[in-house]
Amino acid sequence: MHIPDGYLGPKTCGIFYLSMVPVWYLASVRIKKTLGFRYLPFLALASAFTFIIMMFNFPIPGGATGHMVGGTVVSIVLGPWAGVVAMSLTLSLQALLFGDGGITSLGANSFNMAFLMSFTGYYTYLLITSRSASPLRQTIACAIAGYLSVNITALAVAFELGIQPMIAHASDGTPLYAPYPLSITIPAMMIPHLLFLGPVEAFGTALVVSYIRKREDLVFHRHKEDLHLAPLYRVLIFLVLLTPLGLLAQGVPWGEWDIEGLKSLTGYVPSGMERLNSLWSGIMPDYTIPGLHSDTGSAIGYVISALVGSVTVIGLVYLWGKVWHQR
Amino acid sequence: MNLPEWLKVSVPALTPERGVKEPGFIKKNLEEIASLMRWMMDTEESAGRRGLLQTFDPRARILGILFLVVATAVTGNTIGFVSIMIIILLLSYLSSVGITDMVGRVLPSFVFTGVMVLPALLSIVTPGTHILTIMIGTKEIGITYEGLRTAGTLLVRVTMMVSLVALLLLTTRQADLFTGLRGLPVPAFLVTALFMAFRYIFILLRMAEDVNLARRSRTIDHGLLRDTQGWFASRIAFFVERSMKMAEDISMAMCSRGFTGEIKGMDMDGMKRRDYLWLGGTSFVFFIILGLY
Repeated sequence: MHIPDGYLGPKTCGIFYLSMVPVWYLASVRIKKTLGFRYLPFLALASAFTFIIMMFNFPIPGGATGHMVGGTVVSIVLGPWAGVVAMSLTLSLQALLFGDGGITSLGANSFNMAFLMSFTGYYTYLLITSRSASPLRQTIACAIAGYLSVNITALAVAFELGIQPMIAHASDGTPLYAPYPLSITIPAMMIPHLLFLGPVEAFGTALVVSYIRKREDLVFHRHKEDLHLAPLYRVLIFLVLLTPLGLLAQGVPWGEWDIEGLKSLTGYVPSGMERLNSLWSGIMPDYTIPGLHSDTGSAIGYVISALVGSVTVIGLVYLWGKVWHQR
Repeated sequence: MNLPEWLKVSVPALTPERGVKEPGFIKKNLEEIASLMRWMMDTEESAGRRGLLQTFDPRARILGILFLVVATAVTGNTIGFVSIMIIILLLSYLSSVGITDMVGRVLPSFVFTGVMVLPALLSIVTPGTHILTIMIGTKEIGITYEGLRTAGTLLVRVTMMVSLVALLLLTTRQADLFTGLRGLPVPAFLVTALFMAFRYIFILLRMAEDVNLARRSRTIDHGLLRDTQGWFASRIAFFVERSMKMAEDISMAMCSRGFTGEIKGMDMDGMKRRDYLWLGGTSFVFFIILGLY
């Protein structure tokens, strides 16, 4: 389920990082509010046991073994927001220290396994047990939540990989990142998850949560408190799910037309806009130096632009170091 | 402490009626724990060697490698790939990173991606100019030039990005990695939580090793699948219980030492000239490749 570095294009990686920043912020604020000063060891330990859940082999029929993702277990036991942070921390450690999953794809992996899995699993469980929370109903709810969440996560991964040939390709159409279209990635991800990995996650989630429930003091997340917020979360999930659709859009983003684009759309260019358009086009527009239009000139322009960028980076890092030093 | 009910249930003793055969999942768990421990120790050993990357400030090292990782993610042409490949080889050599260490970390991703992209070579997935044609029945299937390019690009990109991350891990002590992250614009509570999680993972791993070893030493037969699955679930519940108790104890210890929830980092030395040179060099490569993108 971990997407390694190099499978997703820079645009996709950037979008998922940007999508996850508010989620991480919101999650950390909520956890600090709920747990007070205890939040730090709690999150660290939650992340550590998430790592252990992911590492343990689950015995399955025929002498084989399988790994659980464990996102649903964590979200049911700790609540969805703590689940998001614990899982994200685990994924960060796996990417940074254990080389599992990628650094550039950390945003996408966190979206899939931390956010999507936690919330889908948690709210499925909540919806099924909202009217009655008999042990049997809880066990069935855990199984359904585990099955559904792992399959939705797999579908998201398949979607993210499958759109790469459409949005990131060379000028001749050759894919630059994950090479398979949706017609291949969806069955390739979904068939094993629907038939094999989904049932493992479902059974494992039900079994583990049923054991945890036997220790009443362990289930400290009060699920009922979240019920009135459920519609809001569902809308949030829906909106976030729609976010990557922007990747499919072709052409210039609405409202970001240049003068020619605007003229072709409206038939004229407002005089004020025409006047302001030439006011500032950057020091080196399109990585070129004004006046140097030959191939050699363009190459020099690129090199000088890169040098300017490097010097800016050094300056920013230096300033950041100074500011940091003073704090 | 009250024992939970499931721990009081007596399981009938297993007898070696069907021969001595330990359950595969216990063996796999122990192997994976041992491999993870070995991995971390090897990394620490390599990071302790003298070399170019090791001399840089951890903040500069992380940021510089990130520039190169993103440059590799962005590039789509041969010049970009070859340039970064040369940089990786040079950095590995100058940082005393052993080829065995590097290959050990890169090979799994290389093999996985290699197998994964194989179908992309074929004309049924990537149509184009045939390099090699195979007749299957009446159907003509071939390896295409476009397929080769697609598969090659992905394989090279993934290998290089994994190599760069491996280079960072093999030249940076774990403690330095967190120190470096703390110096970058990453929220302090996240870095502290990451560092604490990393430490506790090892405590829980030792516990996991103990419970698996204990189970292995008592096992003389496969037993029923239901029992082994019950054991798995009960151990996970045990880890949840221990983790939460440990979190409670640690938070009380932190509170008694005056922790109020606000994280204060230790003051770090400023970066030196060589760190700025390294950052200048890596960001230069990044911007050049971005320009060619």
